[in-house]
Amino acid sequence: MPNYGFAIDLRKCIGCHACSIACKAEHDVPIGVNRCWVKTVEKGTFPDTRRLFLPVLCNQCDNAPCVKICPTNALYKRRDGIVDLNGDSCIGCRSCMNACPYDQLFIDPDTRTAEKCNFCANRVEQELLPACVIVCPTQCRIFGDLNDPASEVSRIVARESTTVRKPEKDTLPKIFYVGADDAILRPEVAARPLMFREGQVILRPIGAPDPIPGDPGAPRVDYDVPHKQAWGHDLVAYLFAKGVATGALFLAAVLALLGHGGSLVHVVAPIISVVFGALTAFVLVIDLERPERFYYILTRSNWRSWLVWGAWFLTAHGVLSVLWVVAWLFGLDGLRRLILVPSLVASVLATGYTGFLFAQGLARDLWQGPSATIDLLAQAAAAGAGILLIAGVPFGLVDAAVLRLLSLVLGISLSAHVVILVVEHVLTPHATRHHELAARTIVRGPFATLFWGGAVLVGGILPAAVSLAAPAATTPIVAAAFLALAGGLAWEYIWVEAGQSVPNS
Amino acid sequence: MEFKSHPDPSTWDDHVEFESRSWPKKERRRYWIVPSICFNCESACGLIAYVDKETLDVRKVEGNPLHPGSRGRTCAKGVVTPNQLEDPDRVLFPLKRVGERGGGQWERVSWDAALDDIAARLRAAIIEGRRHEVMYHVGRPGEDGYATRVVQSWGLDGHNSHTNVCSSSARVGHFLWTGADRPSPDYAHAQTILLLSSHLESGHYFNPHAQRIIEGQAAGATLIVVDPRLSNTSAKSNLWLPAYSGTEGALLLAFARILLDEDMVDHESVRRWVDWRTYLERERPELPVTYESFIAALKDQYDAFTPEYAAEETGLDPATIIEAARAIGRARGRFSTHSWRAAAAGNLWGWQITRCLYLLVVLTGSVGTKGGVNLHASNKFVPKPHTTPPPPEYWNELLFPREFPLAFHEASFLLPHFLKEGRGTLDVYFTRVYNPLWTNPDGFTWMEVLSDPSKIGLHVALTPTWSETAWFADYILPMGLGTERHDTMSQETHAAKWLGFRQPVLRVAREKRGDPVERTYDANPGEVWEESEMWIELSWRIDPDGSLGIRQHFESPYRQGEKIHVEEYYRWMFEHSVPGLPDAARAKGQTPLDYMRAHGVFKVEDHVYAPHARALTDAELVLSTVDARDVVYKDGKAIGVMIDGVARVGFNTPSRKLEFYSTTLVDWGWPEHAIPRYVPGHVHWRTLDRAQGEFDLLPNFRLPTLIHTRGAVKGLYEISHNNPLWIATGDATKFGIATGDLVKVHTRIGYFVTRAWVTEGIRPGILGMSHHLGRWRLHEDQGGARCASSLVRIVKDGATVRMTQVHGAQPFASNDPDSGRVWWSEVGVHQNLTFPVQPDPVSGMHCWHQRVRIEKAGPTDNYGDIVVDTDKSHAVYKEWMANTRPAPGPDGTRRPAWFDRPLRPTPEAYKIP
Repeated sequence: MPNYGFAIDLRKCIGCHACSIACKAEHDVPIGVNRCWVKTVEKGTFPDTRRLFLPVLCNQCDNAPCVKICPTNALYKRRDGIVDLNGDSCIGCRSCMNACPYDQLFIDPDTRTAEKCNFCANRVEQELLPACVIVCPTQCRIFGDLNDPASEVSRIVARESTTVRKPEKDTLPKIFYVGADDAILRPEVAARPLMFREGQVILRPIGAPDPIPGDPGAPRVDYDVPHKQAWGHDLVAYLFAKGVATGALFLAAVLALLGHGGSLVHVVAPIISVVFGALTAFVLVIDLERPERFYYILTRSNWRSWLVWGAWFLTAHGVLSVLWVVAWLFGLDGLRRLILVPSLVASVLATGYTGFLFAQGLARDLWQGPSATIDLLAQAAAAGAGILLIAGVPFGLVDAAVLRLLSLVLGISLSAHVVILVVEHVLTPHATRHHELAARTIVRGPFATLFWGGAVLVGGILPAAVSLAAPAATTPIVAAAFLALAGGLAWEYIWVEAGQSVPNS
Repeated sequence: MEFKSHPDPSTWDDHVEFESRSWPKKERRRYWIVPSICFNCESACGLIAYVDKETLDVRKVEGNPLHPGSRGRTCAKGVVTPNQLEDPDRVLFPLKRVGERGGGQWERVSWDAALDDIAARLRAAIIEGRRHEVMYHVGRPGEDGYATRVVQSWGLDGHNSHTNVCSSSARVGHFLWTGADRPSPDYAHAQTILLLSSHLESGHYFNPHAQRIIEGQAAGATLIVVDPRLSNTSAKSNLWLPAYSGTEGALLLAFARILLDEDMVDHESVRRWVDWRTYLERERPELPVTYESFIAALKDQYDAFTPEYAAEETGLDPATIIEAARAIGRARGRFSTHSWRAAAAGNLWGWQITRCLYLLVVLTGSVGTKGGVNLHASNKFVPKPHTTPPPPEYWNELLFPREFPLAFHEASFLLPHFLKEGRGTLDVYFTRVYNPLWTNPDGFTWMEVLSDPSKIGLHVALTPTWSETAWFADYILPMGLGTERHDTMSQETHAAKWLGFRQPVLRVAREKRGDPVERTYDANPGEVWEESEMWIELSWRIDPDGSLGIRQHFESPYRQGEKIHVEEYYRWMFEHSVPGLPDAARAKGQTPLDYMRAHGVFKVEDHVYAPHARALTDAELVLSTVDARDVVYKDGKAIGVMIDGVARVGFNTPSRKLEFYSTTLVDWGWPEHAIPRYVPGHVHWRTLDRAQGEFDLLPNFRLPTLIHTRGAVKGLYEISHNNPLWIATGDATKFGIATGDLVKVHTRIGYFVTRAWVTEGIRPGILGMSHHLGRWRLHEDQGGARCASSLVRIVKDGATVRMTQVHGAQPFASNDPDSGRVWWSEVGVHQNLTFPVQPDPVSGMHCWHQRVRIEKAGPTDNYGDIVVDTDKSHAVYKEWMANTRPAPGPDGTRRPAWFDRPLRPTPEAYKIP
């Protein structure tokens, strides 16, 4: 079987954009989105200035992260190595956009599904070279079969010093560049100005390297295409609502197992879980580009995607929450006892899977690593405790023992959350420049005020201190609970935004 | 698997392809693939159009793989042709002005009504002896010879062009040396390539040349680029030499001096082909007339141009100058170079820069060699039509005024000043793919004259799109784009000769389907026509009974006395005027016309080198004579020159040799310019008061993504939509300017306000601004492409004209959902409005560089503000006109007889009465 790839000889690329436009023509790609384009970087000081060109297109990774994360198998790898997309299966969750470390996926405004370069598979199947290859005036793009050692592309890869974009991501890209400079190949190197040489900059990633005053020779991007951020406020709302729902059910199950009863545990908590669980599902569905296709996630499941597992976990969590309410309505104590442990498990899974899902967003270094999952559990515990305190205390539904217990949970989980934030984002050296840039937006950049003031101090340390110092003081505890929820929301916003703030192309 | 670049031509009549839009469903679409030629610059690259058999839409275009010049590849501008066809802001029907000219009210008229009206007016002018009041003014020709023939058939000296804002100075430089006004470098085989141009991104001929420059470089050639700006071409060079603008001559002569000093000269070639004799006789009579004295004299002549001197003058490093010179010397006959716009077009005496450049070609023995520089005349093929009308019998001084006897091409951009001065009036003025109000300097003077019916009686705009100029027309007649018209075209893309055929692909497709098409506009969108067919109709209406002698040139060569069909015009040409085509067609079982319809191109000759060195045949030499200067004459015409005792073709110069010393320049009043010489440009860096904000503005560079004034294409504008002012970091810091800041740029006649782009990519002291952007319109919904123009208001107060932007590009509703997705707003500033005309007194070329003063914009200045005083601009015009040295020449004529003119009047008309 062939395995198609490209060699692009940057020594020959003249930055004319013929490839970008030929691609638009072949695939009727709308304004504002691009399957392939030519990024341009200027570097050096006069007269030792040069402009560098980098034509980019989908790497058709051997180990394609977009295929892994796609919940509905809309993205798939063909036998010839091309990563293709079946728009009919796409629900528009945009997770592939966060999985691709190269910014090669986008939502087509006409179809409202994901789109990407597929090496012109429609042409390749007819033994025609991709449109970007044939148009290129200087023939700097060589397409062919990497499995055939006699092919020109194989021979170039064998012979020349080639590089790929972000080899550290272990995606095994199949676009091999000859003569690529770090300044253009690595998106974290060149500064991003507020204006390009021939036009406006829109959607400038806020975590992009800033121009350095006093160092005019430092590499600076002078053309790139805009990329919409994949995940926005809906995802923040999802994280928040889900934390409340799973935290509430989790704590209800724990309290019940510890022998606590009463309406807080048996009525309020499950209702909160049902309401916020439904809100979570609602937010997730309306966030889809094609919400009417939401059920594909359960009918066309890709079991390698944490999105799918998450959907099932959330479904289980929702069903169990409803059963709690049913058990209360009809007084089915046996049923309640039966679902206590499953509820505990489901709430932990529904909380924690998100860490794995975000980590499947391979493009985002901030979301990599295990601490996010632990933090999500801590946050859910805090959110659950917080919401139960807010819902229970004013109505006298919380007895002293439960109050102490919930305060303690709130204090400890918040403390854990703050410690994780500070250790992870402030103290630990970052393994990659991308991660460092993202963390910088949090610690010193545009999110710093919200982070330090909101997530750490007012929404973290302060309520933690209150709930640990005065676990029985009802009014301060309820106030602390509010602050904790607000702090959690602030952090979730920062985590989503900062995670996506660094350019990937 | 063996991949093809394009579908095999044998399948072009029924090509089946998977539709990409519904992929991975395997939806099969059937296409006619119809070849044509791109219309989006002058390169004439081959295209193939995919015409959907079901919908008759042009689904896409690609490069024509059979085309020897472009070899199946195109630039971004070619690929967007279908976007142009579907542009929501196209003019689809003939429009006639209602109300005041420029008032923006239009009514749709029929082609019949429009042509009848225009023809009646033309007929009256011709009958009443007012031929000189009719003018055809072309911007982009995009074809070879058709329109010129039409103008000639009407008996007019009425062909005007855009060349004097484009390439005149480059042309004069090439022409004085060789008698051919364009070079044809053989980049692919060169050892050293020197560009005073940006052929890796623009120019004649971007795509074909860029292919071959990079091919040469990949094969080991050294690429040297002289440009004060980091163009994409500079960025690809092995040596970038950012000399101060206007000092290029010093640099080139320093190269020449090093070649002479280090004896890297092809003596055999120089001795044989350079007319060194005249130089020695005129300038160094004390020396013996030998080649050795010539070399010695040359060394004397350029002795002052040491690397150190050149370094001082150009701002470059002497070591780099020496390195570049040696690379040129090492090329030994494989030295390729080009100068087109850039330095030659930018500077006063720019044609001397070209002459200095050509000196290097000559010294290295690279004239006509493989890897050297050929002449366009030997690499371009223009077939003859079935009749050639007689030359016009008068001289039109609005085109070639006495002040410019040596001007290369018409004094086009001075026309409004001529009309203002009362040198004449125009009764019928055609602008054809020409937007002088926007493209030329001093556009507000154009606006003034175009608005005045007493100066221009009837203005007919032949254009595929709205333009600033068309807004001031009486008729807007919509003309086809690259896949909507018939034309033939050839260009000197490399060492070969080919002929391309442009076709209205929808008409061809309909005919393939069996639907006869009477008029091309029946097949094109709306009633978009093509000139070739329109001219036939119009000419018949001017001379319906043939009494004016016009009709005969539009009669069918196949059906006596009947109106020619447009395809008969080309059919005759292909059958009779293209050597080898009938045979090639016969071999394929096709008629020559069918062959061209199917292939879109024919290679007339390949590997054309050194035609000047061809020995004349015995037959050619029968009854010939040789004069004292070794020129071979026959029938009163020079046909060759004796070289070492052999009669060879030689060059089209009076001496039939390469003219280092131009007797023409001496005879016509410019003795100080007799030889290639360094004269600083009109904005020399030493004369700039930089502390006071004075700079040299380089306003004449292009972008690879934009099409002159037909370029309002969404996909291209998405990439390139603004033309900020390039300013060097140090200069910007001095004036407290950061990228994005508004800057006010003052010229002699006004100012404009734009944004700064601070860069290390330009020489300090020089500002750069692309001339591609800054399109505007006066009406919200028409007058310009909404994705690419600003809505402006123009207010006149006496001679002061003020333009302000109401808004930039905005999303808008149309049949194309993309028009609602326009995300850019600022679309550039029209700097040319603030430039006075600056004609070079010899070439007539507008000298584009501007001496400007910059300051940070004030609180009341807004992006795109433009203010111009047209009285001042007229005064500057007069100032520059005072530097000319008018005809007559030594023989009492208006112009040297050997100087080209696109449309040449009778010899009688050359005489000044």
